[in-house]
Amino acid sequence: MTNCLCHELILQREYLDQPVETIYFGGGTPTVLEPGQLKGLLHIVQDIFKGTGKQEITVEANPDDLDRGFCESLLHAGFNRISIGIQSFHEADLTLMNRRHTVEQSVRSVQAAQDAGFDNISVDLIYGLPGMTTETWKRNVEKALTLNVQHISSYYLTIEKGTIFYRWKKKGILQEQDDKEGFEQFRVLNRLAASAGFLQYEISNYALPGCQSKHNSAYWKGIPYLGIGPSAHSFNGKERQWNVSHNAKYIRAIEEGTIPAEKEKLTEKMLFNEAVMTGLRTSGGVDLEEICMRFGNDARQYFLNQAGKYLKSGWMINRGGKLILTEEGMFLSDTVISDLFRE
Amino acid sequence: MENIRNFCIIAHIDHGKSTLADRMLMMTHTLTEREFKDQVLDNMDLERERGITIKSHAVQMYYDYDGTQYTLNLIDTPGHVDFSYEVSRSIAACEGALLVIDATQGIQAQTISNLYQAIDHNLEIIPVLNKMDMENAMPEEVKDQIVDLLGCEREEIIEASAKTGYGVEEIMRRIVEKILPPQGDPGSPLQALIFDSVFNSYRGIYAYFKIINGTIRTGDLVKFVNTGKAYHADEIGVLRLRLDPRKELGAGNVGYIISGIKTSREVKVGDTITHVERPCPKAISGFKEVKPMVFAGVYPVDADEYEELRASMEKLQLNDASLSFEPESSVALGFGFRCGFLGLLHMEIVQERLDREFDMNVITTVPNVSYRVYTTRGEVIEVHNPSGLPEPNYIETIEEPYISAQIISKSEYLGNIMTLCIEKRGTLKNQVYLTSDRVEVTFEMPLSEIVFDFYDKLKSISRGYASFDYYTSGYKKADLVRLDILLNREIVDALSTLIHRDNAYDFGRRMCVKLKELIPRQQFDIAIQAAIGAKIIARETVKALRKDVTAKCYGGDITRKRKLLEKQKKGKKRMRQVGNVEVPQQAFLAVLKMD
Repeated sequence: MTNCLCHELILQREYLDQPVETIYFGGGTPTVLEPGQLKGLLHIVQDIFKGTGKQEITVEANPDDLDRGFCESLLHAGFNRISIGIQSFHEADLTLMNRRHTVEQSVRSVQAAQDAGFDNISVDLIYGLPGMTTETWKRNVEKALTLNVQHISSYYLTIEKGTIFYRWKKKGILQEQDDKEGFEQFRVLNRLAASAGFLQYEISNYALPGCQSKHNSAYWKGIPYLGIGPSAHSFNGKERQWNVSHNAKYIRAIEEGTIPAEKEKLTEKMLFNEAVMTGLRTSGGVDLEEICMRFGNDARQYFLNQAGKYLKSGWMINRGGKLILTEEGMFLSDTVISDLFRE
Repeated sequence: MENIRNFCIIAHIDHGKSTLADRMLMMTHTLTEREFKDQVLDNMDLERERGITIKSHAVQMYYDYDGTQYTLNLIDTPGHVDFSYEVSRSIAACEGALLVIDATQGIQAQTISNLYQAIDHNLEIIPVLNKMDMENAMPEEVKDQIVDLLGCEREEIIEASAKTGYGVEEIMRRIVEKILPPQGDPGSPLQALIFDSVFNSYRGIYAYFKIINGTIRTGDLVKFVNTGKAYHADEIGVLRLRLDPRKELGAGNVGYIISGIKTSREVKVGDTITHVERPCPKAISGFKEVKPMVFAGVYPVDADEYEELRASMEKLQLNDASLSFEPESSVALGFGFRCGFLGLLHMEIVQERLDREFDMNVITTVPNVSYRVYTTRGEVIEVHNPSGLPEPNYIETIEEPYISAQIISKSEYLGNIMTLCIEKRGTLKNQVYLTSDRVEVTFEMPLSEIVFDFYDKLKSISRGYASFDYYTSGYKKADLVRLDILLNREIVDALSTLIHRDNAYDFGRRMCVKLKELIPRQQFDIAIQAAIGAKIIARETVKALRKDVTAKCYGGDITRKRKLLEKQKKGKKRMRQVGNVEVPQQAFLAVLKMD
């Protein structure tokens, strides 16, 4: 597989026509690879794609993979940001989600990263879990904040088709959390994060000033990106493509020198919808002038008209020509965004 | 005429009628292997999907028997209770019938009611036990049922498999041997029975007929007795897989006529064709105007599409004369039409055809039957709509239509079926054991009770075994009230129903529960109430929405997420704003889906 990733990098060398500013190893658990392999891959990326010199280079990791030695190797290899999938500081939650790590390992992993010298650490937390009380959640957030991390990604549980939670929910084994409680947990998170100096820069992302993920922010600004590996998505500003998810099929295609990707040409309407979607999810909101520039005055007018009722209901505010979701609006963002789409 | 055989196939849905027909067409080379498509006779998409024949057709085949060529006319019959009158006219055009029974399932109610009609018309019945190739066939048991039913000899029952072709030759031979040739005098004045019609957008209506007496020639001036209208027979012919024009057709034969008729309303099934110059002394008996039995409002989802809906309905009516409609308006739904249907299936078919053939997105309201209201002023009003009910103080009495319902089931489910029918205000009229474990019961019950959820319930309490057929049997006095549904204290007129007083409370409560399920949560709490007059009898609340959020939206999520939200937008567009509440289309049919 690692060979194929290198091979794909070479095949895709022409995909991006601007310098690479951020690199992200993630989705899944890249730390199953040896530090040496990760280092090798990163250097190939850097050899093929010329960067700006001040790149943000992130690696995702599971708490149980990280000890001080591993962290030092990562830092040494060139990674300067680490995102740790802690999920919860409550043992029962980890059991429910079938995670193999423990709370103790989580705490130690952050410590290890810090001792190794990482000064840009993100942790993942999840809330809205069945049976999770707001009190438990509050303790979770507080615990994360005491660890002196620079960034928190905090996801509200979405029960999707095909998951075990979905089947449990259908069978009635699992009771989905009620909306009111969910919103309360969102508010607790916002309050605690803010009082610790964190900025909420996207629905699920909080960072100390200057520590926002440049990489993820790029997705939301519509900046081109190249994804390598099975199911990886790439975007060049006009088209999006995604590799086949099946490992064996991926490997076979790459070995034959082809990219096993499906493509989607983005129409004006799709681009508009994506701009609205990613824009409204961030604290910067959607800039009316930018909409006007990219999609014309009609699009701007349409957007403003559709937004009217949400401005009225307090789910959205207009801050100097930028339409931004309020706290309440963020938690209902799918309703608002889909309504603002064009068809 | 000696060499003509006219026959139909009586079979329950899925018992293999269409496959058998295809087999016969292949054996007689009416259809080549290459042309072989599954279920050739069912040529509308919808029919094929539902596995039933909605509109009857006819096809002519030639079959050699002992050196003589015979003309076999297979007249196809619609397979659903809603179309029982059309079935009766098709049967009236035949001299014989194949009774096709699925060897794995046995006799079903609809088969029996069609069989009785065939026996009433003195048709020769040829029993066929189909699907003999199936592992779970139970030929001896089903033969017992057939012998009991027909009083025939066991040996007369032909074992067959339309799928493999087994026994089909035997069926063909038996048709020639057993079914009588048509009687009739080619020299008498023309008398032809119209048993079906089809609309063609280039040539107008094709009327299908069977000549009882006389002869028809191309160019003849003919008239349709019941409508009184006269036409030139521009083209006549027989129906092969395609139209096969002829100069003349004589008594006993089955054919089509094209005479420039533009709308199906002028061609009434059961009508008689005769010559203008030399008319027959009387029309063929049995003609009746088909009257719609079930009514519902049909509204465009997008209120601006009212004119388009009208145009679509008019086009639809060109080939579906049993559909009737008149303009209606609703506070909740705007402008639309009150439509009359033969039954529930017919209603579903119309709705689907509007969607598929005309791309019209419609909302159909709660269906109701036609009530007769006797007012204190001595008038009689037909009410097709809850809002059409006069003020209570003007109502002397109300009458509602009743049906005679025939249900056949395994006897172990009899108790459940009795309970259901009695709940639905039925009275048991008859009970017959067809075999030791199959029973036929006849109930008299209000039609309005089967309009709702009767059929689905019957199927579920009998694990799918019970089969059901009905015909209307007259009007009876009823104690009805109007039940209103309110959303945030506003009456939604499209959800009002006329209902028997005894059922109103339970119904209102269940309606509120169902609507709570169907109405998505919105920015505020929604009160759902059921009321009779000013009295609230049930209430549910849809709590305000506080959460609709996706956690992750990174590079690999954007496409999928965008598509999901585009879908969410589409779903929302299909909703109707009623007051300040957005109501999805299916809520207007909620009443049909209650358990």
